Amino acid sequence: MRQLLDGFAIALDVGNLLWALAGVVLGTIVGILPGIGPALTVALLLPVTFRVEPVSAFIMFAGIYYGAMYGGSTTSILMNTPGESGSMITALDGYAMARSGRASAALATAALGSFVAGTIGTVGLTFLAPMLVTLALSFGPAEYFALIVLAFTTISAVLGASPLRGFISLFLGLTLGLIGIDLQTGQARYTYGVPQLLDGIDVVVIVVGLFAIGETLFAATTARTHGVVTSVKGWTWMTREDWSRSWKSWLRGTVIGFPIGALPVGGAEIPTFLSYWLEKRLSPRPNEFGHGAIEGVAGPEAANNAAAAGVLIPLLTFGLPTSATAAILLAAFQQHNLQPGPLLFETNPELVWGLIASLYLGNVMLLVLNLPLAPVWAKLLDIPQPLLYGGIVMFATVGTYSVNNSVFDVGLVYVIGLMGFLMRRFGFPIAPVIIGAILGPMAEQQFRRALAIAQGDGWVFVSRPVSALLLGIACLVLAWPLMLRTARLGRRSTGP
Amino acid sequence: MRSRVELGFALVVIATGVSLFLGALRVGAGAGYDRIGPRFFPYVVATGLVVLGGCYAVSIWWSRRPIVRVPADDEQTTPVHWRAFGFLTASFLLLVVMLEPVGFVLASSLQFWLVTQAFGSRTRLRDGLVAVAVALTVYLAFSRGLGLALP
Repeated sequence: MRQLLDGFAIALDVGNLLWALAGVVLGTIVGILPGIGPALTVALLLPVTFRVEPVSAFIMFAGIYYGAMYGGSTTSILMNTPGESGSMITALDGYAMARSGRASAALATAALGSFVAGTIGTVGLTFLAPMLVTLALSFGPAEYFALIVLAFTTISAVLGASPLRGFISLFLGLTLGLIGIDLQTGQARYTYGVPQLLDGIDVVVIVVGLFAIGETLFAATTARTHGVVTSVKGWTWMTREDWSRSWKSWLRGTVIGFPIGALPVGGAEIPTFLSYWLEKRLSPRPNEFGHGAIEGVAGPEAANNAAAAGVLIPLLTFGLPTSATAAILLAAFQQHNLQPGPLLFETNPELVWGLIASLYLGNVMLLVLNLPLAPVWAKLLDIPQPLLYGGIVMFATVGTYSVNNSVFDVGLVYVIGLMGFLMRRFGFPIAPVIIGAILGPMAEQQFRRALAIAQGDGWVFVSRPVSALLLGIACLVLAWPLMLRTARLGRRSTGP
Repeated sequence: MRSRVELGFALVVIATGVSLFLGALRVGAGAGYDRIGPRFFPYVVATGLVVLGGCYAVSIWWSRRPIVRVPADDEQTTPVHWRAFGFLTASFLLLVVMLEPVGFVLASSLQFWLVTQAFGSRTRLRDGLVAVAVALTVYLAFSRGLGLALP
């Protein structure tokens, strides 16, 4: 508790407040604009913030992260085009509400739900993180390796259209992670005599390539109709009925979103689907869903933001990212020579608690910024598409060039962008690539360290109970779809 | 038609695996005290890519259609605009070649403008003006304000 108060002292510093404000404004903007999301924004700002105090940089990044969740819902509701994947579900009923003239009520319930869930999620983070730190401290290399394997399997199996595609994405990411000097022996791998590759491909280059360039190529070569902004007529505030229908959905969404975000299953999408399904089941008017049921906006939006808070738990306590944005945040820590994980709470308490405290403040700022101003933000969508992508590409150039001051990286970003374009085209998820590229080298290091400690005994991963348990769960995740299928086939063959 | 293109992607995945495998043979074995050297993980990843790529290829071959209908499938089956693709590729090649000799502002404005053309923008003059304005602002903000070294 004391530490949290110290954290507030840091976050309330005028300079840091400004960084937080800059973060939430930027986050809202990138949440609204199509083709640019929080992962890409943080990646582009990484080289820029290299000289800024780490605390301030992370306070801004956290603001971007939370802000994008708020902004994403605005476009879902007003235009039926989700700015973020976590807001896809919101579009179903949010857009229907907007078309029937209740846009402001939908925006309000989304913003308030996000605020409630974000705040409760941050409280959960405040109290759970120290407990998990104790657990994380007991982890050796074998357990860490098992945990990373579990994260790999769940993320690949869950994100994307099919587990097979998810795993191909993951292995492509692992391939990118292999390039460069082997950390343990100093041997160069897959550098083909190119000196720029010795340090490995920078994460910024990978993220900018896959998201910014891949997305630009995809958008330019695939003609898409641009949505039309539904104008917000008048200011019809949430009615009493809206309130009574919303608040339970907010709380239920939070309860679903937070644990799923905290578990290494990744992504803000699943809890939103679950929440929508639950709200529809519980509602006395299930036929309203799809035609503007306010619960269908309130629940998923809350779940989305609670999950965003949850994702920070494995990131801060174990150093384990479970979403693309979290992976970039991990890279950001590493660029500032910090390693997230249990020791960070010991060595840099002011950073960790300043960051957590800024999340509370950021949520308040976002509520103030979004509740009355959502229609103003939506004006951003009037930027013509060509100019928008021109700008994205220009910032991509600035961001990648300034990582190493090298034109080589700028060229590389296009090559990786081509890969991202092909993956989008064939329906492969992008997030596993980034997780694989960042966690792959960590997995290898922990694996070899564990073997070295066990003097080459490969059974170490199974004989230690925690790592055996984690690997067991990973196997279950892999086997689950197969088991379901055989069970279904079995039932069909024994049936009449 | 579409399944043939997808099969090509599966082959790319397999080829990546094979080249990883061949590349791993060229990695030095490293110091002897390490039980598993720097070659082990490349082998694992290479095997994974070949197996997964194989499964993917087989699933396409069998069904002759994508395994799962992706929700955004209509987006993915629309034909590629090769003109836009060419503009974007050209914009990057030019940028890489020009960035250091002529400097950020010129090279990046040109790229910005080519990107707007790739999106089929008609307002060429306005795009050009915006490009130069944005490039100048970015240059001043980042190199003067934040001390980044842009050429």
